[in-house]
Amino acid sequence: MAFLEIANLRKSFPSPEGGELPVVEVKEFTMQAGDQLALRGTSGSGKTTFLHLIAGILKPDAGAIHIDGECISEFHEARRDLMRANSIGYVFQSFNLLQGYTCLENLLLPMAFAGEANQERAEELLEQVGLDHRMGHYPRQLSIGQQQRVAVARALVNEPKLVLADEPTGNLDPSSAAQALELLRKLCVDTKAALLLVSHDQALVDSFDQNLDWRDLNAAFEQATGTS
Amino acid sequence: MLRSGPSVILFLAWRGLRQYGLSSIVAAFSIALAGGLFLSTWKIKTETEKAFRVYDGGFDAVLGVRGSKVDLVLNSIFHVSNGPDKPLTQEQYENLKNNRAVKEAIPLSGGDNYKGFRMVGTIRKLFEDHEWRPGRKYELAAGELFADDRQEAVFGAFVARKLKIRVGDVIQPYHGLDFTGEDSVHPNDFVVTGVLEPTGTPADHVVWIPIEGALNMPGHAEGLGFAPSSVLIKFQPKAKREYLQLLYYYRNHPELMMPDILMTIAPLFEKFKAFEFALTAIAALVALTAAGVILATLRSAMNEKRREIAILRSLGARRATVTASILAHAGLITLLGIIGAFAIFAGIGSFAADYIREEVGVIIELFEYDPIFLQVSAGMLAIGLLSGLLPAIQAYRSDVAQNLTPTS
Repeated sequence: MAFLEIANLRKSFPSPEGGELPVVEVKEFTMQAGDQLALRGTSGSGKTTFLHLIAGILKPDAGAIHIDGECISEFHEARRDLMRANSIGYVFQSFNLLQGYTCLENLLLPMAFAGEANQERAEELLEQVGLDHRMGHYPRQLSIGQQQRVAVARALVNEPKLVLADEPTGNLDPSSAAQALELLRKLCVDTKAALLLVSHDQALVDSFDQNLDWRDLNAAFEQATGTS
Repeated sequence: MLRSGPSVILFLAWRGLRQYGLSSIVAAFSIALAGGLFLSTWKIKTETEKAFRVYDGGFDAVLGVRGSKVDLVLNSIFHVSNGPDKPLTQEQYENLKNNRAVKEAIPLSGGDNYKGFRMVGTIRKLFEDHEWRPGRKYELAAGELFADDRQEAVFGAFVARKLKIRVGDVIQPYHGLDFTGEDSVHPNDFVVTGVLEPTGTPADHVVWIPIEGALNMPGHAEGLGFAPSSVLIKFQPKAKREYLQLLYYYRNHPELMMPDILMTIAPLFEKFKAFEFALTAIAALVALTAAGVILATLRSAMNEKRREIAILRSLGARRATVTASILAHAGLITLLGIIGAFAIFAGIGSFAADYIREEVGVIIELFEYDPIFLQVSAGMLAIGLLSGLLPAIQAYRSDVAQNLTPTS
């Protein structure tokens, strides 16, 4: 069995005009442990929803998501939360750092949600991303590139089996974007985490050996984007 | 060590408190004000009432000429208020003293002061034999008692300390119950022979002189002989029949009255009911305002916190964890408020206790444990947590996916 296995996944949202708007319809999708795969797709095409479904933030209307042999789509919410804390790292386009917390605390909190915070591990990771001198700083005191490095470190702090990256370089200049991507990919290799990245950036997606077009994967693509 | 469960909930709540510091402090202060006002009102009222209601100086009743019973008791026991208009005659005093129902009859005579403290004439028996509380007699801290036939004085502990009086000092009394200036001085000397040990009773606030000395000062009405203004009475516990006869006699006496001390003082506090109600109402209104401030603080925080809650949830925080952190934030605000309430109560209470002790000599025990402390704390906590309930429910219902990044 593949590390990540998705079958007949479907998610719709209520449409403003009434009725249901299908956003995600994925018949089959798999990833092996340690794989690094990029999905390319335009804005508003349901990529984020797809990642939310894999992370257990959203519950699918139908279908099954297996991660490491466990069917998370059948988990109740609290178990999905625990699974997310333990097994999934998430990197967002807008970083989503907790503004009222220091860089170190941004790393300690997900560890606490998973069970217990290990300050040594958090400090080590911040050192790896070159921010050991900024541990006590708040996100607003960091540059954009530094904020994304904190976000990358946070996603990997619990040594997850799977890292989901949603337009992780979308807010960065080309040089910072390249550095952030390299760092993310290297840390995933180091921790043996699988990486699933979604982006609208063709060049970025092409830089992955394994890449897919979201349009080919998502049967609801046309309905979600309103294209025909 | 930060870990899943209460420690991370408290950490999040503490951070919430810091992030919304000013509004949290305003909310905590409102609670402190409400709780502090309520506690102060309640405790000062109940403890003062208790102190006055149970204090009788070791006597049962007071004999005086017919007039205000309350004034007679306050004047004779607490040494406040005006005394009777007319004194008793020696014959009236002797009749009472010799009655079989009477165990002790201590005559008092007042009308002068020493620098604002009342000078009360009495007899040595008050200090030698009388127990002002079962098993407790007045004791001298220094010197000796006055002689009944000399112009000597024994100072209560508080007056001696306040006016720095020592044994051997010579003082001159002033006319009237209140000190109106040096020109009201009596031109005759009293030698201080003793200072009493503190008792925590109104006796500490009195300059005691022999009743003969008080009655025979120059300027006082002459020719009255032995004429006390009131007599403190302790009844023989076993002479029930004689006691009832005495009671009946004075109840129907056209000129004299003999009010029971504790029964006279008790209704006095009924007059404070309206005042007490007003203060309690104010405290309740402030408590409601405090609840509103907490609610507004947390609700406005919630509007800004939606994103933060979504991020926390995306990191694996359970719905219950973020909900509990909002409630804990309300709880922390309330806890600060409760600490503040006790600080306000300590401030107001100390001031009130000092004031009452200085003015009347009655010590009120405001800070001894009272179940009301726990009840008020629990009440404030309930108000605080109830105010946090709505924002906590909002947090519980918060949609993670919607409040994270815009979908792509």
